Amino acid sequence: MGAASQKRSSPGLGSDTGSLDDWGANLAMRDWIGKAPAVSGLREGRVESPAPTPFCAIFAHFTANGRFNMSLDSSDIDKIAHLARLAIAPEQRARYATDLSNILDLVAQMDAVDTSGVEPMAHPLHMVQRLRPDVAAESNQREHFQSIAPLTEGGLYLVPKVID
Amino acid sequence: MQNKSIAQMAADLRLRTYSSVELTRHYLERIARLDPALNSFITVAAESALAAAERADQTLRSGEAGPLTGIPIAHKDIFCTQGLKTSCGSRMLDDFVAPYDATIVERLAAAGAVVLGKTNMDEFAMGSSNETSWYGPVRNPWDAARVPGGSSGGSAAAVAARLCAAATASDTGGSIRQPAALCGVTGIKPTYGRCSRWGMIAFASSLDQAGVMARSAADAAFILDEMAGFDERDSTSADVPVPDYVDALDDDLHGLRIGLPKEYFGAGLDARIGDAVMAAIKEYEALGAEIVEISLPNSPLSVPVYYVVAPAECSSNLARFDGVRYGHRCDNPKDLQDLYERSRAEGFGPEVQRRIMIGAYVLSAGYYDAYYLKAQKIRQLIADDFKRAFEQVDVIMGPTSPTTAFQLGSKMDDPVSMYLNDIYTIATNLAGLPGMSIPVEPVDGLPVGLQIIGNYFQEARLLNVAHRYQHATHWHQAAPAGFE
Repeated sequence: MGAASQKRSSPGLGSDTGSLDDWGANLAMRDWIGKAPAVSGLREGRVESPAPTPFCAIFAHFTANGRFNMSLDSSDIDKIAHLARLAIAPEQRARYATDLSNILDLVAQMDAVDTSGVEPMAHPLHMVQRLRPDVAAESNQREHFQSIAPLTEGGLYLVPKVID
Repeated sequence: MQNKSIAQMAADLRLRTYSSVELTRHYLERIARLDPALNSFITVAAESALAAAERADQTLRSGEAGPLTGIPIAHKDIFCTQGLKTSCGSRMLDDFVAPYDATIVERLAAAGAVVLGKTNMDEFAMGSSNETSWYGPVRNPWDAARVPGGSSGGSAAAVAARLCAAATASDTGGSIRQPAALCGVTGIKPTYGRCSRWGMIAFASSLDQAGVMARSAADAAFILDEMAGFDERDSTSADVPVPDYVDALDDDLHGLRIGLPKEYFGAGLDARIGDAVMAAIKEYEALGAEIVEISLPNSPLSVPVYYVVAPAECSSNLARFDGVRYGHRCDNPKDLQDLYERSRAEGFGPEVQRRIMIGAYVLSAGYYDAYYLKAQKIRQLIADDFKRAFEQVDVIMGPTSPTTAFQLGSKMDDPVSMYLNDIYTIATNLAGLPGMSIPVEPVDGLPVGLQIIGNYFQEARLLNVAHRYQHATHWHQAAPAGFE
């Protein structure tokens, strides 16, 4: 599992210029495996408690014919919604469980394909990441950026109190 | 006026047959009168459009006008426009005004194009029917009870209804070609990296590509000429020279080898669409092309692969929407966690939430190899199929969509059946190849699209192949009743 989580950051397929924002999703993954890194605590003002059970133990089911089959229930939806930072109402969970299970059944068609020896595609045109000199190219637009923020004060972005 | 080609409009503007202000007023009047029934625009920018038209008229008088000077177009609401709302079809960005223009917006403005407004779309470009938009569904100009396709449904409907001369659009799994097919317009998705993604709100960054909707391949060529090209601000932009797309339009098709993938004509395809596509292929034979049967054996896997890759990348890209610096924020958050979770749950619609959750799931610890890595391997096999095919043929043709436009609401309760609308279009995104859709003979009065797929950076050839067909036939000129 450790190897898998390290690889996760490698595809980096052209994530756009706002790559700092991609942290959100990666942080969510990390707290699932129960190793909430310090940066997660800083960002959210608290440290995640370790997650109890890995996904693999919860979701993997095999049908009678041996085909890998996905069937999620409402409690699985709770866990995934937490990873995705989405507040899913209790009455919506069953519906999402059905929809996501159906999508994962569609995706399970991949299992039948022999991909041994196939190199995963890293980029459609096999381009490598271009680098530029480390010099500031953007002008300062702080006032403009703050004018579209939900809540600011004195040049700062306001969020709920995070330290009691 | 609204049925003229971009080249004709440009000539008229030069001859002062009418001014850009008059042309712009004409389109704004059509939008005001006809769009309430379609809902193809989220934002109409009358004031800034007329100001741009006045500037265009000055340029025209100075004799320094280019082919797009004074031509009224629309932008899909996924492209950032400085000072003009960019919603991406989402409540999350309902009050978002970008502090900058997307590169393609900037380039088209520099070419003198007039922006009439921003077109409706599926939320964050996730959908195939334009029904996931926070701003309500777009209706198909050919039948108001039917969808226009998606996600660029607003651009397709607006072009079909002659509410703009052309529109920009984006295509992650078919979002230009499928609505172009369902609305009877010409759409081109260029090679991955051909048009800058800078300022185009990201959905799935390894698949997203900007392109054009127009009433003909020739019109699309004029727009793409200005949009395409390297942009140092987009780290995935291709540094490859851009040919003149208009220059290549009339090239002869004798000896053109057209590949027909047998997988694109199998079960699931409406037989009448198959017949309409084959009639178009016959026309190509008459134009001197040679037909070759080919196989893309892994293409049926493109939908399952896509529904790993696209949600995975979307869950990462959309992690930025946290209610802190911009976008929707929930009322009275009790703590930061609550702020994130409720802002996102309120700001995103159900389809976006489904995809974010699928993405979070397939990227979760222990599942990376089984899903994302496996998908990227099959993606390579899909690309290899095309590579082998292009050793034998110059272009690949088939249907764009398995059905004509379907009834509003008919697929919204079944995400998987909605996803299968893109069964013929997704493989090109996975491989990064350019693809087009052009209208052929309709079925039951509804438009049908012929898909044309080319090798990497062969946009000029695609536009040429489409143009020669449109030169020989008239299907692309048909206008929906009430919008002529």
